Amino acid sequence: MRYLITLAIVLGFEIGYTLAQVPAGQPSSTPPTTQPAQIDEQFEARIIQVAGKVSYSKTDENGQPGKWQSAKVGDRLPAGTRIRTRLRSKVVMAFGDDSVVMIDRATLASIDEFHRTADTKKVRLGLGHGAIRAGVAETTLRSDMTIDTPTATLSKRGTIDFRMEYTPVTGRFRISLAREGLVQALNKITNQSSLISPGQYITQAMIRWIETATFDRFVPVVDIFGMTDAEELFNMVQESGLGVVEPGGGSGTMALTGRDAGKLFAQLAEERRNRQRRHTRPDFINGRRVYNRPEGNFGTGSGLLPSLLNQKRR
Amino acid sequence: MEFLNNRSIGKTRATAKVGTCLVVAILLAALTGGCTQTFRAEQADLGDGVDIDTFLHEHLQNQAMVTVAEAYRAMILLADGDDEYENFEQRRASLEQRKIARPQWNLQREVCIDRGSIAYMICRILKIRGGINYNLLGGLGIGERRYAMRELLDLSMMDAGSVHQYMTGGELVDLIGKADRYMADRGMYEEEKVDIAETLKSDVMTTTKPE
Repeated sequence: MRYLITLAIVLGFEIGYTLAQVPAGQPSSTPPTTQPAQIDEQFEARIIQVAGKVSYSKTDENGQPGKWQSAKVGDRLPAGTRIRTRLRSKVVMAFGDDSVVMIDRATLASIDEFHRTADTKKVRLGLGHGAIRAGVAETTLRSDMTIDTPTATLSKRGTIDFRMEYTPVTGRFRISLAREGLVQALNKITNQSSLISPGQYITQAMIRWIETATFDRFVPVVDIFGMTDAEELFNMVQESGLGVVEPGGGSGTMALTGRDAGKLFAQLAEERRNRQRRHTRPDFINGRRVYNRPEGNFGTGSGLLPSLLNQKRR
Repeated sequence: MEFLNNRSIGKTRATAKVGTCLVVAILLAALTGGCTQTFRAEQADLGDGVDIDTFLHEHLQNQAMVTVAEAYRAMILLADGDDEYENFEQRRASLEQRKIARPQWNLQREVCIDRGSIAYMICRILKIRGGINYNLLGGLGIGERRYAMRELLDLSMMDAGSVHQYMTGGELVDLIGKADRYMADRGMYEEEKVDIAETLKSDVMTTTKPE
């Protein structure tokens, strides 16, 4: 028994040593494993549309940037190429048969990577300043596209028409998705990540799109019946009368007209006292009585109810 | 001794008088002289000397402030899409003739330009109608830069800030890029629109294979 075990061990070592002697690069006689072979194939992007004045610079053999040359349809750009566009200019490039990239006006961008690894086609673009738009169709080959800036990274997931714009001085960026798919935005400064769905966008603030949208345009929404007197006066000073001449600076313009905020406040307080005094005839909202409270009425408010008789210009 | 004391008192009084005069002179100079201006002659020369691509993508990107010469060249690029002028004087004449820049500003070539002046020139190039104040007061030269900046704030082209603040070169490139897009969207020059989805379907998926 001991003899058989020793024989098995010796045979095992012998077989292992023999297999290890197979020269590298030659196909092994062992059956293929489940892991796919590692393929790394370099591709080149192809220019399919040029508008205005666009130029590119390829890297030479030493990895140094070459001379800038004008871009024309059909030119092929390998990884390492830098592209720049003027105003009123743009260039559209095809990255294989499933990806299209548009370098927008006044932009400096680069193709950092474009190759295939195993079952994934990898496209990595750099954005110095300006904007890039792109679309990637779903094919059998998994496509991995990222747009990289010093402050943010866009990573796409089966997406049509996404856009990234970046300003280097301020570090501001805006990532948006117009049509379909899903885009992931990563803020490198804060390490925050966010997913963007069609019709949404995100900025460097990395707040939810709906919250960002509210800041797009200033819309004063004032519930004058739900405010206290002080709030009503503040809004009157800031957003009515001459306040519209200088949004946010209404108090200055109000003083210019000779109106006294203190007197206005006193007038409001007087109106309020009078109303409370003659409250034998109560105000009604939907048939229910309103009890005015000094701190405001939480939705029903202490402001005057609108009617033809008590409307006053303030 | 008494004489010496009187002498020292006299000296002290004289020193106090000189000091008061100095303070008054400094105050007067500060009040009448107005704000100081930043001159960058070398930067203005460099900006005039480089080609358009280098100007947009390298030169301006490195400037913490923009001179009048650089701003005027950027405005010519925005208005015409190209810069065919040879020097600052030609660009200034062209901008003033088209009423993009106001001759009343009397801006010097090497002086750093403020955000308000740039905003006003962009508003003129984009033919923005503006509000009552922009037209009524701005037309008279009262607060025209201030109201122009507010117009661009409303269009999300500029960020909030002072009209008198300087602008970095990178911000200027970003601003004229946005303004150029505004012009294209409103058909102020002919541009072929690119539909990414259509291009992908028709031009790429049917014809291209990875090279």
